[in-house]
Order: sequence, then structure tokens, then C-alpha cells
Amino acid sequence: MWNTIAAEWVKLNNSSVWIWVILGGLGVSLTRLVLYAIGPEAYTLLAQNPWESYLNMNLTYFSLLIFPLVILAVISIVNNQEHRIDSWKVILTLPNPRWELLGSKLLTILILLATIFLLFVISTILFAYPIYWIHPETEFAYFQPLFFEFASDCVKVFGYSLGIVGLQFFFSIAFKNSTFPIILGIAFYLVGFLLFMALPNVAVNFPYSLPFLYKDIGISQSIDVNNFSGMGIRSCLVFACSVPISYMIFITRR
Amino acid sequence: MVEIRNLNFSYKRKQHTLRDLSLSIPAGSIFAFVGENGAGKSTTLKHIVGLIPELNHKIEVFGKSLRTHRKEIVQKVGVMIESPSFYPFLSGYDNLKIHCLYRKLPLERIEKVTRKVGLSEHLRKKYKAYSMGMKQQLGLALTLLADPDLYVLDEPMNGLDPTRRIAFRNLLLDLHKKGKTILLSSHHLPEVELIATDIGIIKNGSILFQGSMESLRSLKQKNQSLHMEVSDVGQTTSLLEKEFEILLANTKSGKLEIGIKDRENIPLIVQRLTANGIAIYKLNGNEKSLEELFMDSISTN
Repeated sequence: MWNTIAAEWVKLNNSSVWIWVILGGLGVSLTRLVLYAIGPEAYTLLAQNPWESYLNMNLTYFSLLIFPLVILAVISIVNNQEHRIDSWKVILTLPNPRWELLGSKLLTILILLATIFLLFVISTILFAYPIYWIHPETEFAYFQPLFFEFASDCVKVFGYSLGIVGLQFFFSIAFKNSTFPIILGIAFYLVGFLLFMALPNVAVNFPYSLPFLYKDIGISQSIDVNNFSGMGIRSCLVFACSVPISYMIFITRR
Repeated sequence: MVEIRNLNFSYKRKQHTLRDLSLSIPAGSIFAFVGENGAGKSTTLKHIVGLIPELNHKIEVFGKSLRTHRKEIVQKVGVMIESPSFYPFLSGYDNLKIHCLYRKLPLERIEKVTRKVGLSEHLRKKYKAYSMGMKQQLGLALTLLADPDLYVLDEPMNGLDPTRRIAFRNLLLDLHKKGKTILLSSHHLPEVELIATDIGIIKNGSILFQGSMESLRSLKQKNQSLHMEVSDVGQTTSLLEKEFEILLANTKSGKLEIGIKDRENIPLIVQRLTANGIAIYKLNGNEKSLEELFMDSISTN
């Protein structure tokens, strides 16, 4: 299995997936670094721990605007490598079992997404220090970063996104191109966003809305996210169902 | 080496791609699989390499059912189906490295096989910069990577220039000498005629002819045409029609083209014509090429 995953990583050499990894991992924290550098007073509330609003807002932007779209791009790039050149006909003649071939693709995708998340977490925390050097009034150095709360929220966002990962993986296996899965993904993302804004009671059942609901961030209509238990389970269930269905389609491929 | 028994297959309902196809590929042979486009060549090859799963134990490779021993069989098969599929943004080396990793082979194999196919100088170039011939060579290097016992090559000579074609032919003959079995489909019949030891002709999903090249050659000797220039075409035609089994007789200003089923008839024809006072000015025997035989068999069936 590890050899098969290593083969997937070789395929990613010179691939545009690395642009997405860097953009996805650093996009929000870099933008926020610039914004803080320009006008920190707009973002800092005196007498409060500056880390709280800084970390929360970064994660909110990341879960709303970046991560769902990065999921679409990464899955599409990884699976479209085979669709584009029709290399399935070569891969499927290998002695490796089909579950291993599909599983290595899925694991590669999950490792890439986890890397993006890790880059986001590290850059978010590290970039607070340049902000402090430019604007000492932000007082980042005087407070402890809220590591555990931030880490727990990050794990929540990642878990709540697994439904999207499962569905997009299914689309990219079912349709032998990248265009249709991406169009479907963007359409569902927009629907998910609208539901999150207007109908949060419905949004809790829609996989593409779940990453937005990791916390009450005050954007949506007043909802108490704590009342909607089991969103993580729902997301994981969607993921757990999508993967075997993708495999069923994959084993019938000729 | 490969046995297929009464295989039926269709991609769509009511549209048979393979009909009751039976094929026997002897171990150590170079088996040429020829047929028109859409005859079912690639579909048959896809079955043999397990790309299309066959559930009724109708295919045996190395004496074992492909259905139950797929992994074991495929490990010993080198495959090139249709055009080679490689990742364009990767180098030739990286493309082969991927397959070394999949098959758990040492990376040293890459250097060895690319030297064999004459591609080692271009190994670090990106695949998208390769010429058509180099792409085919890389495809061939891929099939050699695992040093398999059976090679399944679909149109391997496409895009090769004459020099590379000769090198490729020598490589196949070299593999044949080492006892490897090669199954290749091709449209290039003169090339096939040079290297194949066995041949199978397929049309509309059914096998029309299957056997050794020797049996095909004896068939060729039986199916000859004669070009003659004689003094009296009318008399010659009526004489030949009466006394010999004429397959074809074309007459054009003193010239005749006749088809004969057995070469033993040639001296008899000459004898009968001269005995009847017909002068023979020119006599050319013409053996049918594989291409003509192929055309004959697909048109008569």
C-alpha cells in the first residue's frame, strides 16, 4: 500500500496541486497579515486577548472561503491525472488490487488536505509575530495563543468537511473528467452557503454547509450550533457511504 | 500459454463485440493478432490482461484461470494496450518509476530496460517533449520492466520510423529467443509476416483463421495467381475453364490473369496449352501476400 501511495506522490511532481496547497495553506493567513499590517486597530479589541479574534476570524475565512474550494481542486487534480491521459487502462492491468489503487488515491488526497490545514494552522500562529513587530499595540506577545481551542475548532472544520471530500471523490470517479465534478462542487458549495445564510435548520443536513457550522460565527441567522448535535457524525457518514459507492463504480471500470 | 474458450462479450446490448471466440496462443510463440478496426482485437487483449473482468473461467493464462489467479498471472504479463498512456508533465524516468513502485521493482530496472529499447539518453526529458516513436519506445520499456513471460502489445509499431521499427523487430525476436511469448496486434501485415510464428485473423468478433505461419504459407502456395500472355486468349480461356478449376480469369488484350488453387496445376496448364498450339509469351507466378490473404479471408467470410 505504501508503495502505491509513493507512486501517487511521484505523479504529483510538477503538478498544479502544489499551487493549491500553498494558496490554500497560506492564503488566509498571508492576507490577514497584510490587513493587520495596514490597520491593526480595526481588528484589535483592547483589553481582550488579541489571539481570540485573530484565530477565530482566520479560521472562519478559511472554512467559508478557502477550504471547500481547495477540496474541489485537490480531488479534481489528483483523479483527473488518470482521466486526462486515460491511464486507467494501464493502472488496472497492474497486479495491485483495485481497492489498493483507489485507497491510495483517497489517502493521498487526505494527506494533501491535512497538509493544507497544517500549513494554515502554523502560518496563522507564526504570522501573528510579524504583526506584533510591526504594530506592538496588537499585544500578541503579551497573551498566550489559545492553542487548544483553536486546534479543537480546526479538527471540527476538517471533520465537518469530510462529507464534501467523500462526495467530490465520488463525482470525480463517476465522471471521467474534471469539469463536471468541479461544476457540481461549486454549485453545491453556493447552495450550501445560501442555506447556511438563510436556512440554517436545513443547512445542518447538507454536507456542503457543514464546515460553515463548526461554530456560531455570527454571520448566519441566529443559530445555536450546540443544538445541532451530530453534524460531525453526519459528515463522516456521508464520507463513509461515498467511498464504498465510488469503489463499486471503480471496480466496474474497463 | 493463453487459452480462450467460447468467449462472448458485448459493450452494449444486442451488439456483440466478441462472438464465441476461441483462441489458443502457444507458449514461446510470436502470435500476431490481425483484423480490421473494430473487429474485436483490443477487446480480446483487454480480456487477456484482465482489464475487462471475465467471470466464467473462459480464459486461462499460464494454465490457470484468469478469474481466480488474476494477481499471479498479471505479475508475469507486460501490457501495452492501444496508445501508451503516460503523464505528460513527468520525465520518462518518473513515468517508469511510478510503475516500479506499483510493482515493487528495484529502480535499477529503469536504466536496464531503457538501454534495451534505446531510450536511455532521453530518460530525463519530459514525456510531452517525446516524439511519437519515443513514446512507443517508452511504452515498450514499460512492458519490459517486470521481465514478464507474456507480452501483450496492441499496435506496438505505430509511429515508429524504419530504424526504430527494425530495432523493435530485433528486440521482439530477441525476446522470442529467450522463450518469451509475444501476443501482438497489428495493422502492419508485412511486418507481422517477418516476425510472427503464429497468426490469428479476427472479423466481427469471430476468429476466421488461426494457426502457425507455416500453415498460412502453405495456404499461400495453394492460392496463387498466374499472369499469362498468350497467342489466343479465347481458346485459352475456354480450355482452362473446361479442364482446370479456374478461380478467376481476366482478359485484357492478350493478357490473362488466372487464379489457381494448387501450384501443381501450373506445369499441367503449360503442357495442355502448348499441346493445343497456343503460344505462351509470358508466364508470371504470383504468391499472395499476407495482406491479400487477409483481405481474401475477411471478404469471403
